[in-house]
Amino acid sequence: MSRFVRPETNKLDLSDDDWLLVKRRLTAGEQRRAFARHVKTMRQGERAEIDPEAIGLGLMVQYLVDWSLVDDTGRVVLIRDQPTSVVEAALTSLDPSSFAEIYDAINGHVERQRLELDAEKKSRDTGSKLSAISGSAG
Amino acid sequence: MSVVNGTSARIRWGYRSAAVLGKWTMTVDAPAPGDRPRPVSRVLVSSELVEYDTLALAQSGLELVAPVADRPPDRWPTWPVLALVHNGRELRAELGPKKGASLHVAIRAAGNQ
Repeated sequence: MSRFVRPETNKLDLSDDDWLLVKRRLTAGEQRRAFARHVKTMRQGERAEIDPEAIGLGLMVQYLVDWSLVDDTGRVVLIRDQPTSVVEAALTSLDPSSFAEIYDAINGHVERQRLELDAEKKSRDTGSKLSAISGSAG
Repeated sequence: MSVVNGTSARIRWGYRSAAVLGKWTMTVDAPAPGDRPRPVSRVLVSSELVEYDTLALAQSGLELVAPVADRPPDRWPTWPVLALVHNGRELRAELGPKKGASLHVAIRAAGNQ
């Protein structure tokens, strides 16, 4: 199994028939960018200073690929292939309950992926232990 | 055989950008009647390679997407990439049958001749 992240997506349903298209997993680079987004300052030997306005935003921006959300004219607000700043501006322009719904949907997805990866890792570890045992028994 | 030109395109691996293309030329070689075993058009593209991701460009399941100014990205014409070679500056690829919108509309809207 490759250690590289394949660019696969999951569709997450929201209320009112809206949806989000999110990355199934982040790459190391995307994860680091998500983390870096909410760190204001970080000096050696000191606690990192967090930007409270950015908490969660970095992760949402890194996961979001596309969505069905429309503006007042009924046109989809374009986020696909847009720079991070555009996606972030679109997210922060949402009403707070919509923002919270998207935040919860993405966090739920992150948690499900974490559990799935943990289960995969356990099953791989069990498999390699069993093959080591059968190898030494033979 | 028909030839179309474009000013920009992108090769994708899933949602990820595998390459950004500059000026490109596409030749569509329609099959001759009774032309077997190739019953579909042969589409070749050659292009400037503006930037690329080595890992992504080496994967299978790539697609070439030609942006159209007045259309949302999910309606941009898209071709599966069957094979490609590049030298870091130029890229040549063989494409499968187009998915998505009309090529003629795409070329006009992209400001190509």
